Amino acid sequence: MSDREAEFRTFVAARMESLRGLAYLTCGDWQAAEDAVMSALSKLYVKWNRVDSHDAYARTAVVRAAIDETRRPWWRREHAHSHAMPEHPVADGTQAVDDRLRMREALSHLPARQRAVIVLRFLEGLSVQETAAALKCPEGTVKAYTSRGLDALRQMFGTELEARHEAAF
Amino acid sequence: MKQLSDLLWEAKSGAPPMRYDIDDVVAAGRQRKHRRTATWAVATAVVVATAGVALVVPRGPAAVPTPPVASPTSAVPSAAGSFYDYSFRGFTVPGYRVALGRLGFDYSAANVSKAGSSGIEQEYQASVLMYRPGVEPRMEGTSTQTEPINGHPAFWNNKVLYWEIADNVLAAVVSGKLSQAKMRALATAVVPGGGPSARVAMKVGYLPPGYRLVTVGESYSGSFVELVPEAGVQTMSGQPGENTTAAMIPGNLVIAVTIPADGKPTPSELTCGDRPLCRVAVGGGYRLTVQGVGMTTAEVEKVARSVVAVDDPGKAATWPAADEAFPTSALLTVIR
Repeated sequence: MSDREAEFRTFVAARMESLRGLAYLTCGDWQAAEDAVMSALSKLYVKWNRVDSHDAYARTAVVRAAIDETRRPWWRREHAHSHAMPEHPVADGTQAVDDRLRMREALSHLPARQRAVIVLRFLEGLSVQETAAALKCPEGTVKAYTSRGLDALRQMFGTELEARHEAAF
Repeated sequence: MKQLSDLLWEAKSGAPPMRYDIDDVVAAGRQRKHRRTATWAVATAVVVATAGVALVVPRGPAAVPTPPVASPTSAVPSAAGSFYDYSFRGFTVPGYRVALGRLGFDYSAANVSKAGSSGIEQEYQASVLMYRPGVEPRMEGTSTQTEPINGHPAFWNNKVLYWEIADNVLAAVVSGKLSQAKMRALATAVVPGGGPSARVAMKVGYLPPGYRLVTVGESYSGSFVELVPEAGVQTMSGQPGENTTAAMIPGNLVIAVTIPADGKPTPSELTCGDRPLCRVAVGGGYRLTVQGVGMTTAEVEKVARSVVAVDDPGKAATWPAADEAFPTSALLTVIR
């Protein structure tokens, strides 16, 4: 095994799980998320020696692939969405599980790119500029999507929701 | 008060077991490396040389591409063909006139107008698009399955009729005028493969270094082409289906031989103004226009002086094939 491949394997071992979570929150389906991660990491494998920041590249590629998964026409999708976000939250009495379902439900109502902006900014902690670079869109779009996304989420969570980066809008 | 970041972390918990492991990812990466463009890729002679693959850009039907020789870092294309061949033949539909219209990075297109009309009087009805293999156009909104077209899966999305005309090849009918039934009739008539080479009403002798021919358009009003710098080719080839047109690429160069119907001047001598735009009258009452966004006027003028329009652009049968009308260095080759 080459040094290059050993480095790549180490990176995948460390980041694959979190990248899958990032993709899942963006596209809303675990299997599609795994496909997005697989696609993004296989691209990274090819470009490994030419990419400055492996983490940034992987994150961007995963989010873009996950957005693409939401756009794939029905005839190219696998019809196996057993882990797709539920349409309605079902509380089981456990606060954490309730929050999880409510957040998944809330995210499922956002357009894919708006969802990606929220996830990149508040899960990955990216700045407006970094998010715009990751999604290849203007910073103004990121700000607008952030604002609209937060408004939508607050409609479900009410005033109990706090977003640490709001001051940066 | 709940932190959004905490809720997002919670929302992605409870994942099912992963279907892939590290070995799967490495195997996929190796496969992509050796078959880097699983669907299609576009390589210019320069790009190919950079990648260490020897390939002759084909010029005409008799040309045979040199078998590619892979270097450790190169893609290994299995076949090559002209970028400038339409992906479907002309076809006939009662009541309509179908003309090949545009060939670009993502698709070949035909323009459909009412039968019996001709020239500038013809009335546009619809466009038929056939995407390059593997290209999936960006779609918004909901797709609704409909009856298959010639046995192939079909669906509506945003009033556009799509169908999988061949394996891994998507086609579409776009119309703001025709009923769904008429759009289906057009789709049913389309036959993939065997399309002719795109033609242009000019020959071009000089282009700035690195410029590539990425769009060929032909219509009742004339002929136009778009060229972009090498970096633009990389941008466009990396975004299949994203509607990344040549007009979005910095340094976009447009050369057109068209009927002057826009009220702009048609000087008898080549005239270049302050902007990087030159115009001159050519045969048959047509006008040559050369415009280079972001280029110097001197460079645009140099290009314009090297352009020779066909004697009568109104006679499309006299137009040369696109890959015979430009310097070889400007041509693209499709590698599958």
